[in-house]
Amino acid sequence: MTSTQLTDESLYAAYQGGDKAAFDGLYARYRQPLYLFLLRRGHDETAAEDIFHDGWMKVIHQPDKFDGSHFRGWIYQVMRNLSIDYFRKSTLRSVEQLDQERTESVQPSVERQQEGIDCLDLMKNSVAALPMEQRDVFLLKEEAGLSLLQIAELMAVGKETIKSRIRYAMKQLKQMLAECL
Amino acid sequence: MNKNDHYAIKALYQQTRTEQPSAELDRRIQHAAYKAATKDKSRWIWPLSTAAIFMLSLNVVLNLYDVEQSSVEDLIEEKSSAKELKQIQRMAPVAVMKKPQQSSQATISSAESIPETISPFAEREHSKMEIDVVRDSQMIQPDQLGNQLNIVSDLELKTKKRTEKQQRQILQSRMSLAREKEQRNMGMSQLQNLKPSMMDSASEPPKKTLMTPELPETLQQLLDLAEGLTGEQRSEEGIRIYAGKRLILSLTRHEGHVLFIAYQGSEELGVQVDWLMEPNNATECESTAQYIQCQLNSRVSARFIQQKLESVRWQQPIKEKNK
Repeated sequence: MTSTQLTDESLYAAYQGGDKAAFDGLYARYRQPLYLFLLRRGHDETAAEDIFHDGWMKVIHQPDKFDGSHFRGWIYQVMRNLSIDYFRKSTLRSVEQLDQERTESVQPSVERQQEGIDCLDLMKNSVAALPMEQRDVFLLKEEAGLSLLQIAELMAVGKETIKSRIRYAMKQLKQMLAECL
Repeated sequence: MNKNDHYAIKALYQQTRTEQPSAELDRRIQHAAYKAATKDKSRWIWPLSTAAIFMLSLNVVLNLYDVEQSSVEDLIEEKSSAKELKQIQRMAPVAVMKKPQQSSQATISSAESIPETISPFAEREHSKMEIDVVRDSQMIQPDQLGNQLNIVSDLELKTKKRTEKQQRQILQSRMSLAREKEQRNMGMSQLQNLKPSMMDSASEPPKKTLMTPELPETLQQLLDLAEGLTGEQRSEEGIRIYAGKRLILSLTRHEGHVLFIAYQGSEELGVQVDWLMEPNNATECESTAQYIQCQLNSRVSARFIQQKLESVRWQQPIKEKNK
């Protein structure tokens, strides 16, 4: 059985047994989605790389923290926690300030209208402009590919709350991306 | 919102997925992972040997403790007062003096004057002395009888007095040691496992058995406390830790301090609270329509709802260094 066919949990267990190839398989699966999750969550590239690195160090050095049930949910939780800690520690600009700046950047400027809209940039900015709770739910669904129930468990809220957040997130995105849809 | 919009948004989002971590970062993580994988093979040896040594030491200590405690407990159970001490002496194993095989009148008399029992505590010392006396008494000539009898009875009297005194001292010190241990054990179990029957005990006043854990002093320590626990929810405001779906501890950040609120189940995090505590066990209470809040000490307060302890709150100053 190749590493692409094995489950995350099997690969992680194999890596714990000393199988380096198993780690490569696991890393290849999560390398880009995790990095994008951090970027879209609102970090710049440097911060995203720092958190990404720290998160993987936890995966490598703290296998006892994994309960063996659902690797995907666990690794996203690790990254999300580090991301929250990073924002909390950041004394230069608060999350609210960052959100405010992003919201302003989403508003169509005169120049943007004249130049024509870059829908991909607008999409990135729109996601960044979502309230953090909605942004988390959107990213955990679209980027991490977690089910609503898994997201609910990860965020320790009810499934209905998650449904409601995703509905509001989509509604806002639709408004912000009206010109591109 | 129709399905087409939904798919369009998803498709547009998928098109934005172009960024990747740098190759240098990949290399660093891979290097760390490979290094850890190589180390992992021998990683179990240290924990295993440490655990083995610990178990061995624990076993030895427990065995020693059992031996010590069982001997003391036996004594305590049998006799616990000076009056009963005499019964111990009567009931204790006896060292019977052997009479000389070829007894003369003199040796019989001398043997009769020797006490029949010796306390077990002084048995070794006493018996050696008396055996010497007996050995000597076998060689006593009738004309030496008077002097020898006096010597024997003096020796016997002195030894008896001394051993009784020693006995009392040893027994008393052991009894007090056992009492201390018992009290200590009871104290511990009361703190950790206070039961309603004990709370109702008329002989003891109601106790405030609240203990705060070793509290984190820095924000990082605070975060470490919650790190790795399942069922945690972090937000910009603070951290909520769940056991299953039940909230057991919340940490909320405020200006200069963190407010801890511990609920039932927070024992898993090291918070020790007597959840059977009632408001009348505490002083300085304030009542509202929903709850009663009582100050338990300068830092800790307890909130009661319908006479039941609902949560315990305390504040922890943040000693965070500003960058």
